Amino acid sequence: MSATETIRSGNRVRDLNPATQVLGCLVLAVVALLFGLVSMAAVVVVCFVLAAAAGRFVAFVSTWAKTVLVLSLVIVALQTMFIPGEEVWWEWGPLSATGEGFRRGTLFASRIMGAATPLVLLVQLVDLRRLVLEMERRGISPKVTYVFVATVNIIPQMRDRMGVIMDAQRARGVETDANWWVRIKAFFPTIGPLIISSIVGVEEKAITLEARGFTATGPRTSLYSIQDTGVDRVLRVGAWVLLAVVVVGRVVLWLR
Amino acid sequence: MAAVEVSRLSFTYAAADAPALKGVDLSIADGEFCSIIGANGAGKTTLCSAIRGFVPQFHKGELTGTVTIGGKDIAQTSIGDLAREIGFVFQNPFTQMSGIARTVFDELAFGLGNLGVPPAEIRERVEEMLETARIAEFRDRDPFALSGGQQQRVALASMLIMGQDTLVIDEPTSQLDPASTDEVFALIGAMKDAGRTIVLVEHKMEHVATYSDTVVLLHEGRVVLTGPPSEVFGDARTTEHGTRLPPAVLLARALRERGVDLPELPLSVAELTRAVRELLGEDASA
Amino acid sequence: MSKLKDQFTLMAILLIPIGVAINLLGGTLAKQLQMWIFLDSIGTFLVAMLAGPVIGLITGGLSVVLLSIQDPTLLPWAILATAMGLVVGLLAQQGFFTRWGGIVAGIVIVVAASVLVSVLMSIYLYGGFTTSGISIFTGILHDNMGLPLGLSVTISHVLGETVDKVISILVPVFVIRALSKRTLLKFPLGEIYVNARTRGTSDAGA
Repeated sequence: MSATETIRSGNRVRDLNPATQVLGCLVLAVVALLFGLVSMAAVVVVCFVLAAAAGRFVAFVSTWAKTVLVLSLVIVALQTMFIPGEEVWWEWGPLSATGEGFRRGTLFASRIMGAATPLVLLVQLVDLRRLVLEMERRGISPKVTYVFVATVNIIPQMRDRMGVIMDAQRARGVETDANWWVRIKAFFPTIGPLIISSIVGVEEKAITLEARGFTATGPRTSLYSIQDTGVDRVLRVGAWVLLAVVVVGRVVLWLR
Repeated sequence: MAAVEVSRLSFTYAAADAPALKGVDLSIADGEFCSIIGANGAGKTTLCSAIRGFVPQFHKGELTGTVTIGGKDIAQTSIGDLAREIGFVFQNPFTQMSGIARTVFDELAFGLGNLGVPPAEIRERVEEMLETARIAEFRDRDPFALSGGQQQRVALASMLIMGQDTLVIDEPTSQLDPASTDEVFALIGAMKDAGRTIVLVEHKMEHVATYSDTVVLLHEGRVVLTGPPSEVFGDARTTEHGTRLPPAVLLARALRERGVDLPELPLSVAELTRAVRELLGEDASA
Repeated sequence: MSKLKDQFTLMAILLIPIGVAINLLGGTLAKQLQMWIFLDSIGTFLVAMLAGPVIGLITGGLSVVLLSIQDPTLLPWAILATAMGLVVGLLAQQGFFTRWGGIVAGIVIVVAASVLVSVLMSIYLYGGFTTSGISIFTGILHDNMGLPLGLSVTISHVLGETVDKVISILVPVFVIRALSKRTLLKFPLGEIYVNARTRGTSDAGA
């Protein structure tokens, strides 16, 4: 076994370099926004295909439907009902559905869908450890990557501690069905001690990191490594070229 | 040459009214195990912080006097680079985890990576330390999923692995049960046997008496007594300044008051048993 | 304003994960207790008050980025969250959160900034309506009372924002009062609070 371990999942799309994945998804989002409904639809289809290729189709569709799709539908519905216009489709009490509202809603919804769908895909493709390794490889300060990883790790820990405090609250009879004032009063004793102990803990955490040489000068080493293959470089050049083409194309269309 | 040399050290925390240390002089030889005892507020933790350079570089305040480690004045080195010279472990296991390691293995590797140790050597040293600290069974566990006692051993191992000649260990067992305390002390003892210089603050006097070469009694920021454990625990000032004596010493005193003539002050229950058996004419080795 | 590099002490950057966690937990707890306000910026405000505008801005932004892992449509709100961290941090640098008059002024400024940014975002990014309950109120104001869309969005935001920001500012203010001088002094802006305590011996919190 070599001294450094390369983190791999075995899937070719997910094992692409994270920089390639990030750039690819950003370019897809830009493409989706530049040419209206057609480009949006094309990008959404591409994202579905890539998610399937990455072996993440079910997770992707489930997140996408619960977030992007729901928000888009709500926006179309609300705009249709609330935006006044000449072209009234039907009226129901104080509400009136208008063609102007529907078109406006579709416009906003398609923007949201076009920009957010590639992001849903990105979350499914990127592995946090690999992303951090790539950031370090590109010379980003270990302080930055530390904050990133520590933040992701600390949330479940603090959630557990809050659960303990909440249980104690419940034991004292504060229930979520109590009236609003009781509930708002329950909020502070739950979150207050958690905040104070966490802030005081920062001091010891800083000492720990200093003692372990976190701010020592000189080069660092890692047990893990990440690859940047020829395929990655070709894909990234391709993404930049695509970006240039669509931006220039958009400008030309505007100028005509 | 002395491993740690503290000379006329005084320190007052920023926004504090009184100094925490007042003219402390202390010399710890290479490979010596030195314990610092004293009541709460005597300045033990401040002295540890000063030896590690956290006072005054991290805990701000006014400092006079010097601390030298291996002949080098630590005021000349940043607290980050001092990590190569001095190890530091304290009481709270939870905050001594790096916060970014997924496994105990990675936790131990974190410090070595920061110092730029080659990966192959890191793996070798981690494997070795997992055995020494008897935590090999946890190697792939999440450090935060361990118990307090297990975490403290991981914290200690993560520091010891960095290989500094001098270790400052501040109340490592105050949050641990007796079994975990013994495990931690076994590990500290192994480091002493490996020739490292150890500065320890500890309230469990039976352990202090058993492991220390030298005991330093602090009171209100001043060194009151320095000497081998038998001397310090035999001195009346030790109890006057709020320190509890090891059980063996208390028993020996009670025996002496009742006319039992013990030749020297036993520091552990095992030593006391041996002495009493000798007096009774039993074979001590039995 | 202090130099950028001075704000990135180890103590300051270690506050960021805690601030983000407090934001997410505050938001979750508010939802669990069905409090109809968000309370998801307490951590950002606390961090901004202790470590200044840049660290505050990062805390706000990172909180939304992490929420976006579950729901990427939330990502644009990172603009609002970073703006809030920045504003609170700048006010903290000027010592707004050391006395009651300053705290009240601070709340007014933060609510104004928050309403301004969130209204602009609601209108330009989401067309005036989002999935939040406030949107129904916006719709009624706009459609039935004949108010212009911009005004409707603004009115519906002001009420919710005020309650939310009063709590989100007061919690950090009381937390800072509970911290020792020695702990405070380790954070970039800690001296501001320590000096205020030393000055105002009549201050009940000192």
